[in-house]
Amino acid sequence: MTLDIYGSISKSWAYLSEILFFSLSVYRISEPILFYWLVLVNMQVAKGLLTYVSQEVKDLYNLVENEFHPIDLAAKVQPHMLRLSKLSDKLSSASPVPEVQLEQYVPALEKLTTLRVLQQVVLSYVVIYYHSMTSVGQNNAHILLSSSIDVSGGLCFKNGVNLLFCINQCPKVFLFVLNFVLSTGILSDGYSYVCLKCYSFRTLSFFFPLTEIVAMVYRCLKCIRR
Amino acid sequence: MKISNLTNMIGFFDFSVVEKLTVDAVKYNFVQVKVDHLKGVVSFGSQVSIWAARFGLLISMLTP
Repeated sequence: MTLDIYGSISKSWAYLSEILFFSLSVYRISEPILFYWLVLVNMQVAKGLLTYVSQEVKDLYNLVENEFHPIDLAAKVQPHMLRLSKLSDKLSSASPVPEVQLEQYVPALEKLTTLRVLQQVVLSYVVIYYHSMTSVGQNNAHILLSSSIDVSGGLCFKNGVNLLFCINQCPKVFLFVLNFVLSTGILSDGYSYVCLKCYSFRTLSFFFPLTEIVAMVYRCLKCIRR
Repeated sequence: MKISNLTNMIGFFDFSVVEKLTVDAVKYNFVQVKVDHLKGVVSFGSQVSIWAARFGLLISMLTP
């Protein structure tokens, strides 16, 4: 196992201990620690670290890192954190840390949960401003946008995806999606919009970012080319 | 999204704390969020630079 781009393994362990507040190293938490954190956590999970932790911690990890609950993530996490704060474990005498008080992680977990909520909400609610796309200097932006709406519109019926495209200047985009139009109107900031009704009213308020659309278009194109 | 909705979703903190965390998250490029106190809304991911990058990705995917 090598960690050429991130430094030596011992340094990585030092960083990990710093993250866990064990204070075994002289390294200070800094901006690059964010990258180390991702690498180290993935490494430890891949090695089976989760088999050694309690069910509460495992559930919490899955909720925060793996599952997608943009609306009620915080509500789902809160009872786990309450139980977590009551857990504590004594370690063996060989360990430099005599006892693990899990409650010390709760404030950091609350902040992490807030970040995850924001990240998941960002994935769910994104308004795509057509003028933003055309202003970035892409001459064929309109064609690409139209085709992406056209192709992803078909996928919407299968996946229950809803798309909201704000269209300020070019009504042609409407033509491609006429069959999927549920409503049109004016947003509070003056941009006209078209809301694509897709499959389910339950997910009506979910809007996917362009990267998701791109991924869908890409998958769709691959299917078409087969 | 309305600020009140976001605050209700995150039960741990007041919006002032959420706002500070959001500023940090934006600073480190975790999310793209704009808070509009005048309208009382939070809008997500509308920076032109982000869309430019994503459109570059779109073009590279559509024209491999």
